[in-house]
Amino acid sequence: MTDTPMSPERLRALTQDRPDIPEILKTVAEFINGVAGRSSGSERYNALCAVFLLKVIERELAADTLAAQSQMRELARLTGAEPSETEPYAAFCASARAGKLDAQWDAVMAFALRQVIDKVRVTNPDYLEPMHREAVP
Amino acid sequence: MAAQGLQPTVLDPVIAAIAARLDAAVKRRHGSAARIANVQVATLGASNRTLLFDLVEPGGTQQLVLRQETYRSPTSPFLPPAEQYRILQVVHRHGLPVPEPVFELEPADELERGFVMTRIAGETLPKTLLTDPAYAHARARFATQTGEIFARLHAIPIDELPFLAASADSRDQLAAQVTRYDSYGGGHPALDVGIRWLERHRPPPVPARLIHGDYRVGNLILDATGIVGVLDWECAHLGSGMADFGWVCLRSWRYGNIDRPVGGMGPRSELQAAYAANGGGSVSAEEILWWEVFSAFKWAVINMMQADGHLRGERRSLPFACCGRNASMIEYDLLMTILGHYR
Repeated sequence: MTDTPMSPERLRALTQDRPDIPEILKTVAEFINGVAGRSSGSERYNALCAVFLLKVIERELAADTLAAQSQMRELARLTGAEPSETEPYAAFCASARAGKLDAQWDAVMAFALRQVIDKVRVTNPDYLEPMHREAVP
Repeated sequence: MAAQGLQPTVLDPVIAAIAARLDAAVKRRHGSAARIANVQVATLGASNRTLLFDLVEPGGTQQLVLRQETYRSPTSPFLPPAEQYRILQVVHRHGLPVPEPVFELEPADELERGFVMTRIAGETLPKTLLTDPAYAHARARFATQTGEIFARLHAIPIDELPFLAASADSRDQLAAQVTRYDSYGGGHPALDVGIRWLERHRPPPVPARLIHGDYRVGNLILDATGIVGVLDWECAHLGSGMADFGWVCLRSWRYGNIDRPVGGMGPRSELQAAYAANGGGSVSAEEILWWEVFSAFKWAVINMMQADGHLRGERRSLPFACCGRNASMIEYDLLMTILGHYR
């Protein structure tokens, strides 16, 4: 048997015990929401920030891996090389800033926008304009 | 300053210690009969702590504000308190609506770096200002008043503030922000694409003006009549007057009222007409667009800075942690602005 990376879903299935991660997040968020409701000033503000960050975790765990793969394919097409494992955007950013991608500016803008939309879907999907709320194929 | 924004009046030990030193500081300047009362924390912001207090003297009571620097770093983009104080003196002398500077802190005060200024009565909380019927008249005047204030601010002779010319932001706003962006790790596609767009579309050079740098709802005091105080001068620098136009129209500072570009309260036409009518001159749509895109870049970088301070451990804070993720929304605004939205 060769060692191949296990998907996050498979890893979670092996943990087996309940509550699972989404259920734990929901449980902790319920508690902090209660704290926010009972407090004021900076404590309330901090509690609301904490709930926001838990929501980010929840959405990031549920993020669309197909969208991520298609984003990486587009990145490879634009830069002409496979994106680095640890810093996938570094080559694109350096080339875009240096003007080496100016000839395909519309495609560069389109890629940057879809990458940002994928991020905002995790951070705060309601912030997006209606035309960007559906998943990119 | 915002009454609703105040924290409970029971002072935590840190604030109580500051209050004791502040009491000694006012006695040193106003005599042993002077004392302070009603100390309250107004905000603990990105770079300053703001305490409200009363200066009680036999002849009467004055409501004052202590501004103390809380973030000092070689890479901080914020002006040191001594320079903020000089700016307040100049801007106040020119008759703009700002708190009157009262005294600067000295080493003998043992209160770090900062200054004391007068307190202007009114409201700063964006949610209240944008929704409370009591501010309907103030909202209706906001864009016009902002045009008047910008015209007067940008007319102040810059040689009255010679130290500003040396700042990185005064020399080249874009270069200064790019340097900061790289220092926080860089590598965000939208921001590097934004930098390229900004470099390719740079407007021609214009005479340098005094720029507030962070003029927006939240840093302004309003009462029912309109804007009565312009606060938070730590981002001031020299540059194109259009920098202030771009910043106040940023989507973030519209607080959800996207169709009212000037601070979420009024139209650009009123801002521009008031600016021209008060001697500010005419403005070009292309130049304003450039400064709006630049403002989104600058605001994204400031959010990265807050997250960086949190992650390095210098300034651990849940809100600063949120800033790191919020940068994505500003990146979205940047690209959408280039693509013609939010006009």
